[in-house]
Amino acid sequence: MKKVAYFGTAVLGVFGLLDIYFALLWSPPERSMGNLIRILYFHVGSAWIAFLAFFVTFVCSILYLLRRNLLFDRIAVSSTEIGVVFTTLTLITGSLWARPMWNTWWTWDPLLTTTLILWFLYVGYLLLRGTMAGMERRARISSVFGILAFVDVPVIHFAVEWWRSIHPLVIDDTGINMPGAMLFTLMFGVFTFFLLYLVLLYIRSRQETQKIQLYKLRERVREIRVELGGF
Amino acid sequence: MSGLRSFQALVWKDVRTELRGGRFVVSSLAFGVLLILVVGMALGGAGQLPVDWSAGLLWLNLFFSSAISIGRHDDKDREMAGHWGVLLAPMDRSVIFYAKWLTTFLFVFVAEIGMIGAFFIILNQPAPKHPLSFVFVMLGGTMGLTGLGTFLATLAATSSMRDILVPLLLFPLAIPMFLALIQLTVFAFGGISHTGVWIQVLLGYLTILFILPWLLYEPLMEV
Repeated sequence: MKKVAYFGTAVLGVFGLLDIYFALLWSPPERSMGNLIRILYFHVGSAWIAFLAFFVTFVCSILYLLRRNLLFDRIAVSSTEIGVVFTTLTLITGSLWARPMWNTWWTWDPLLTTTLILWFLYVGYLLLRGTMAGMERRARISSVFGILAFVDVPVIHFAVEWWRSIHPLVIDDTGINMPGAMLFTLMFGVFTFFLLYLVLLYIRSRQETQKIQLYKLRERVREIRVELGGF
Repeated sequence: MSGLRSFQALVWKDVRTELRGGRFVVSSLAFGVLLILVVGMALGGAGQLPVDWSAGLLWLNLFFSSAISIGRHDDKDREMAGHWGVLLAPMDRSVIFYAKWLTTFLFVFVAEIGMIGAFFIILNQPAPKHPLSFVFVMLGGTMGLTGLGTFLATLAATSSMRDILVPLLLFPLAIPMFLALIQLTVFAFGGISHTGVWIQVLLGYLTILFILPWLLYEPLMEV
């Protein structure tokens, strides 16, 4: 099992270095925003992967409630944690980009506002889990919240959009608004972030499994101590 | 016992508990009025607020005071483990949710009447231009707010941080409804001439709140 993690990390290292090269050196500056486009390569990648991570949480939450297999719960929590990290990166890189472009660190744009609300929702999910006793109860309750939160995301987005909108879109009704070299860099970045997500998900889920195994071992040691006379 | 009779029995249990000194209405009302007073002070005792500001402040106040009270609504049930009796009743468990939603709605709405009065007096607000719309917005908004709040209070019932978690989970989930209620209240105050999509947003929330608990409440209440 360890071999998979080492192999994944090695592949990720190669792709990560290539991504940095493409995004920071190879890709030409954009016509209107210049070198600020380089921030967007990381911003868009982390935003898409964050959303994918929360979608995985949603699917695993449904599967847990249907099958009652704790494996789904472990994947759900691991994916949420990674999603929160990627959402944080999205917010930070978005803010860094917005300051020179829009002359402000924060604006009430629907995508930006939805992303921040998304962050709060899943931080709430992690807090809910972290403050609840009982493995199965925790899995059950966080699965319900995982479904509710994901169902609410599009509603939040549309509501804030009806309220106000100024965000530039890479992909809209007219197609993809980007030259070839930049699009390649962007997609390469998204793929690299996807690899990072997979490696992190694997390692984090394994860690959750080991945590449970350790807990069971500790319980067994306690039982043996009682059997041997309670020392 | 049929579903309707179980529902009636549960509603009556909550009403009687409140009448015997549940303190839900009193604490919500006191906190809500205090919040309006503090907001008035924070705004430097402003005489006339822009209509969209006042609508926002009204709902912010109602959300805060309700969120804090809802998190403690089932405290009386849990005393001496009384809630086990409810769980043992032979009925669909979503009935427990709908009964709790109705009583929370009733208590919050009673407290709200006092809060709204204080809002108009302390912040010196003119009467709404469309009073009937205002009443409907208040009823619909309270129904949505208490529905979501009741569901989340059950969700966070066994958490050691439930007091902070209920508002923390409620606010992000309720953002679209919060925006809709502000816009509809601005309309009732006469600040805008049309309600746009906001009625649909509010009705959408209410529909989801009627359906989703029926699907998801059972796993929440498993022992």
